[in-house]
Amino acid sequence: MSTQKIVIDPITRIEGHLRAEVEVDADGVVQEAYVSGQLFRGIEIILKNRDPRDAGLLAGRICGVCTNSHFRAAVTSVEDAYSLELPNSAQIIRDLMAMALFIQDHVVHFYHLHSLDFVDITSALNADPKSTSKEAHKYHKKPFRNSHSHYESVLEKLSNFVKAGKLGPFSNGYWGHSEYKLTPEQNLVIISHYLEALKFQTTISKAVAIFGGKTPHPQSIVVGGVTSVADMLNPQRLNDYLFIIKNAKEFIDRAYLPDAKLLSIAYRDDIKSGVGRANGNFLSVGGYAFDDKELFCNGVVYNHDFENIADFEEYKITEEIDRAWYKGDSLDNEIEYTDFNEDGSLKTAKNDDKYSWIKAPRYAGKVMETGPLARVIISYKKENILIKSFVDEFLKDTDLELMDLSTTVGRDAARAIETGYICEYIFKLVSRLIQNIKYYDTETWAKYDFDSLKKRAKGRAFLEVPRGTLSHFIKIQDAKIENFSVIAPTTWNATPRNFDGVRGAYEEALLGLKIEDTSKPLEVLRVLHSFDPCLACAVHIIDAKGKNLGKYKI
Amino acid sequence: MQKKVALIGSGNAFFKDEGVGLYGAKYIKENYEFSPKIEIVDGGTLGFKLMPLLQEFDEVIIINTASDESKKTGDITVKTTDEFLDGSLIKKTANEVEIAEMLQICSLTEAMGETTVISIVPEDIISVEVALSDNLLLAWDRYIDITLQKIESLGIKITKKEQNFTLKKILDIFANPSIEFNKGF
Repeated sequence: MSTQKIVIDPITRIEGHLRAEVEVDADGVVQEAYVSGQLFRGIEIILKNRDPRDAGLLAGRICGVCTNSHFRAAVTSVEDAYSLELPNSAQIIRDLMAMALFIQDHVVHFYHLHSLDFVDITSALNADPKSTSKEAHKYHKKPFRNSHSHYESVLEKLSNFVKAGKLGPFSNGYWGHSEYKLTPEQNLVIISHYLEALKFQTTISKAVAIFGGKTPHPQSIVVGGVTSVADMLNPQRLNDYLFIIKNAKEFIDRAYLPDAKLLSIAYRDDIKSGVGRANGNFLSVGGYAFDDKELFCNGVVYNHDFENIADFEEYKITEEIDRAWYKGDSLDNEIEYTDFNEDGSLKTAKNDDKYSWIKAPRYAGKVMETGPLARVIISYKKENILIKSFVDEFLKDTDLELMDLSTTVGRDAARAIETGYICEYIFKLVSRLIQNIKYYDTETWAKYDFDSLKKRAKGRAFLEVPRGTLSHFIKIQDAKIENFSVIAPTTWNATPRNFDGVRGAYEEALLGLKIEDTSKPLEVLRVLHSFDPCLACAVHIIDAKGKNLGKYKI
Repeated sequence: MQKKVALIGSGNAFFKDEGVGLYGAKYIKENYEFSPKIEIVDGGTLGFKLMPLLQEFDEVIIINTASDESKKTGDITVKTTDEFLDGSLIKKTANEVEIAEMLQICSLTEAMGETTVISIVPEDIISVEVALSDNLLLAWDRYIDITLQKIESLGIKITKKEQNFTLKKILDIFANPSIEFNKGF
């Protein structure tokens, strides 16, 4: 059988540098897929020999995309090492920052990094403003900015943009591709929200700043709590935050969720045929407490068996390097770079060929998928009342089942559903904080005397962050950081194989995909984008020996 | 109305030359005064998270690295958004990719400020250390001058502060950020 290899490198509109190689048969169906992290990043070495209290500041620079998540995870791992208990109000403030980030990240991902895989800008130009307004009503009774005149002005903007030849830069929009299934009106609805989402970002980023202090790099999280900003619990501050979230909720409810529904309905055939489905192993470490409940449940699903969810047990995590460009023990981080084949393709022919800078984390020896989809499935099946109704409503409105979410479009739907229930949860958190203030429980920092803390300690943090499960591990010796390591969400999802040849979630999701036009592999981009890849921190290397090996292949 | 101006230092402080934009912004912040005031931002590796800034300011100057094998290490280019996006972009670091794509995304909105990207060709963006390669040290003064000229061209008066905050001191701060001494950007 003749196969053809398609190489996409780099995948655009993601954070970092990812390469995908897929082999398709004569019908354009993907028979094999390899995904490779192409940037070689070493960050953990920076944390060696530092004061553990500064771990957050340094880890926050691992990558600015998730600066807050890494900042918090690093600080949490230090607190874990020293067994420091956080004041409840500090915990809530950290959660409020994190939740605003979830909203910001999910919205940016959907509109700015991913929507153009489904939305054809050039087709939107043919939309009729009146019918567009009508179309939007199908997905919400009060759609966001839905007047004819608004759509007319969006159309004018777009046509100026296209006329000025500025569409050129969007080189990865395969305009006119037959896989673009939306009507001109549907395209216009989403593009209108794309523009609104740019404005949305400027406001939501302020919500993070209210508690984060100096932006864009937040600095208020310190070992033991939150500080550096005076009167953290000032009512005006809370009011400002709530005001922003209320507006954000309008956009989420009346634009983002309806658009996710629109896509789910328009791409129903893809969903029903399982396009983009990975291995069906899902992992969530849970978290974000509220009373005796948590916003996300922890759990592990194997092979789409939703009825038997195992508890998450951290000792089952391992990290391997069989086919990543390292040798020896995973923690040694010794490089073994093997370069490419002569034709410039990845070396993958033998089952011990190495092909990625990304390491291979496993849970109980299995490849896992992590992220909003994993959280939604696990929390829903565990009857989590903070989220259940949101999932039910979405599935009902789109006439889908839970299993359908384990697809490309379903992954996006899960992200939108999650954004919806996070908004609701934020209001609960804020009222809890107000209650604390009322009862004069205003402590936001647990006092400790650093010099009297243990000189030797080990700690870890497991956090659900927008893209999935993030773990930080720290070892402290003589009151300095001796070792630091990170497993980021994308490390799980973009993992290479091991000697056993079992594909990672990205690779598995690409298998069986039908590519209409191999010179325009839009379908591949869609699948990978649906995971919200972020490579900047997924790839880590710790040894300065890497100097000689850091070749970039573009 | 007076234009709102932001200078964004962009890059990763821990990968040698990749941090040059950050060091540059910090250097300008510590050594010069501006009238009217401008906002100097630690853009770090924020990538897409810089989009709000692009919309909030009338004029945005981003200083960063741009890998380009056809050019010599230390070569400096000044480009508008359109020029930046039109050229055949060579993007190596995660951050170079993001800055380019962020500009693409923002170019769809009218609210985007006039953006200028001042880039220098790096030599070593792989070593894990807070430092500059020799060739970038040689180009440092020019990199700062070109950035200051750009700021001046926007009608802003620049005065040198009395203190002389050296590059060495700046590298030291980035290498040793500390909560205790409030040493950050």
